[in-house]
Amino acid sequence: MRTLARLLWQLLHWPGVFALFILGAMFLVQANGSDPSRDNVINALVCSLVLIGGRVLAITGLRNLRLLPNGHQLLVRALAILTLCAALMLGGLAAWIGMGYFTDEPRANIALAFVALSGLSFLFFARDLHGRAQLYAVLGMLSMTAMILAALPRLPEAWSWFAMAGCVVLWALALRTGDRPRARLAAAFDVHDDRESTWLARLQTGALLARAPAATILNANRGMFARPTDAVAVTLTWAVVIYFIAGLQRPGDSIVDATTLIACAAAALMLGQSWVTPARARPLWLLSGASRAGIFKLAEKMLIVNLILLGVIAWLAASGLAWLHDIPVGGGETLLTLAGLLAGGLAPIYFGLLLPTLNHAWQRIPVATLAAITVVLGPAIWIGLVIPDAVDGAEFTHSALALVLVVSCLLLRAIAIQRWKSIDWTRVRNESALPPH
Amino acid sequence: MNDPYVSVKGLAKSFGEKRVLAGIDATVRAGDVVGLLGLNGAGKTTLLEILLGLSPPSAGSALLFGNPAVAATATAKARIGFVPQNDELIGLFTGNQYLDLIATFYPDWDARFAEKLVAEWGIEARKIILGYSVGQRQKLSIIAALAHKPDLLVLDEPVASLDPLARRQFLQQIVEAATDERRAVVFSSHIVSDVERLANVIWVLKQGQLLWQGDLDTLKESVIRVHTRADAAPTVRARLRRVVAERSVDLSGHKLVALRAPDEDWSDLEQQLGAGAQIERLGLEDIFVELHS
Repeated sequence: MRTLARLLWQLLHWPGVFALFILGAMFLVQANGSDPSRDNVINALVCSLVLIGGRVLAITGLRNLRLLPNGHQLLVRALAILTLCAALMLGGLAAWIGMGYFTDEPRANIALAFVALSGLSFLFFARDLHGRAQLYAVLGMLSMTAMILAALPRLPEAWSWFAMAGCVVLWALALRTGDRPRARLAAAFDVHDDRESTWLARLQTGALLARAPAATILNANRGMFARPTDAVAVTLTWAVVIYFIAGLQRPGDSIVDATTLIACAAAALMLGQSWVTPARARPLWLLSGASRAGIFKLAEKMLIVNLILLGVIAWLAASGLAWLHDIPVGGGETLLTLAGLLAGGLAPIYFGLLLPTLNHAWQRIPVATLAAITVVLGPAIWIGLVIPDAVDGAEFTHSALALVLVVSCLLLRAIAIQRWKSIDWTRVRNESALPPH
Repeated sequence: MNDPYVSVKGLAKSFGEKRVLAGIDATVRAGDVVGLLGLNGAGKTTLLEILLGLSPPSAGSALLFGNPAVAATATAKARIGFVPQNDELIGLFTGNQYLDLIATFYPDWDARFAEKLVAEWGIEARKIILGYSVGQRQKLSIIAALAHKPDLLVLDEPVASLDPLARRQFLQQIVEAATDERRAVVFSSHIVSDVERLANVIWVLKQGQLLWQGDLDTLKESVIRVHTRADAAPTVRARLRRVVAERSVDLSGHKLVALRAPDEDWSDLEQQLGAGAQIERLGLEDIFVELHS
């Protein structure tokens, strides 16, 4: 039972946060009355399930799970529980907005589920691979997504069901074979060889080394920002998937939804990165000579620089969407949007820096919940503030909320820096490290 | 006498309800080569990380070069070399790039020395670290900790992944470091023979407490195994103040392991125990096993 609980926690840990922000964003859109469509709810479910699916695929690659005699059973049970939860979640939401299920044309949703699942499977498989293979895998995924989307409208309705069935079979195969597809992918791209001569390796290490030594230590190693291509690939992929899911079905009027979601994704990425930063800062204690508060400031500076980079990428993605849909956006407004994206990512940075320093579950759980809510609300408030027409022009409320957000950020920073002054790096260490003894 | 590099007093550490260390008093001075022994989970890593200021103590004090370890100054930290149990290398970099990066943090980095060790230890420094074996990663971590010639070198199970040849080369480096009286080394290891060969001070950690600290020769003189008849065992036990282990070996035989109390006089112990008792002096490995049996 304990193992099952741990497995469930592993499965829900990050997808839970992502699902929450997607649902929260959808809720916000609906609460603001832009389009209470059933598509929003179904999309939210699709996103949640797809992200959980991606996580499942990543976890099936773990050797320790595969070595457990009841590993498969545990996984199946966990999946069943998750599916039930997702169904209840969807049912509840659907009942709340008073709609029926699958009343017409489920094809688009099924097709999108297939595309997103396939894409994210590739991404998760590729996540542990070296830069070159990862880049190829992401490019492959994007190409495949484009091809499927181009082909789907020409296919008969029944084909969507075949596609769905194929997707389930592929998933089952992935569960059966565990980490073998990953190994095959790695072997196919021949990435375990010496990479000193590859242009990509030189480019990536060059980009890392171009930063200050302390920032290099903080940026390097595990996580989405381990390599510059990771950040670009992950952000672009998310932006594209979100665009397809939130934007394509209702072109034109859903640009704000897509922009909000992209901003939420950027905020979630920042939360993820800052969450691992205290552990990565450990070597700096002896190397940099700085005090704990000094290391906090180094980490904060590095994260803000990363947020600006990410904000620019997210802003480009959002502007690209606006351009594709012929939505006229003024220069001043785009700059305000960029400022909004950056501001929305600030609070998650401080939450991420604070969370690992909390030693007790009763402290972590409420703060993590608050962080997840902020990931959703922060960008939504800012987007609402800079594009007031999109959310019924509720300018005063949004201004007040923005002020609250700014004050909260300052407060959070003060708490985080206080916690860092007594940070215990025996507790806070990289996940791959063994527990202290 | 010179000021200690490390000084801990009444040190205790708990993680929530779990007590990991309690009542530790110890010092490390220039010239000391401290071998830290203990079973898995005894608290070795936690103790070393407290000494380095990575972890604040729950009670008591830990001073590093005279200042609280958790508030160690930049000057103090520049005098420390640390090899953690799990390396903190950057997988994407080549060995050379990693060493160059670490060198930027230390004004006294000896690049020639680092290059010499890289060559002698057969590290493929132009290859990225992700492609290294565990042993090679360990060697690179050790070089990164040695090349700025630290006054205090702290190594947490440094030889665990090294092959016999690399282990010998590493031990040679520690011997060379130890010949410099300005320097001190603290290392934990499960390979007792290495500790016996290198260390002049032994710390034995058991269940979070320092069961022994002192020089190796004194430790060897302070632990005995007494073989006696079962019926004579109560008499022997009564004469030894600190019996740490006791067991029957067959129907009539009995073994007791005793640790000398600080004020206990063992100069005429054989006479005190009587003719029926045989006293056996132990090597470090046997002492370690007996103290934990």
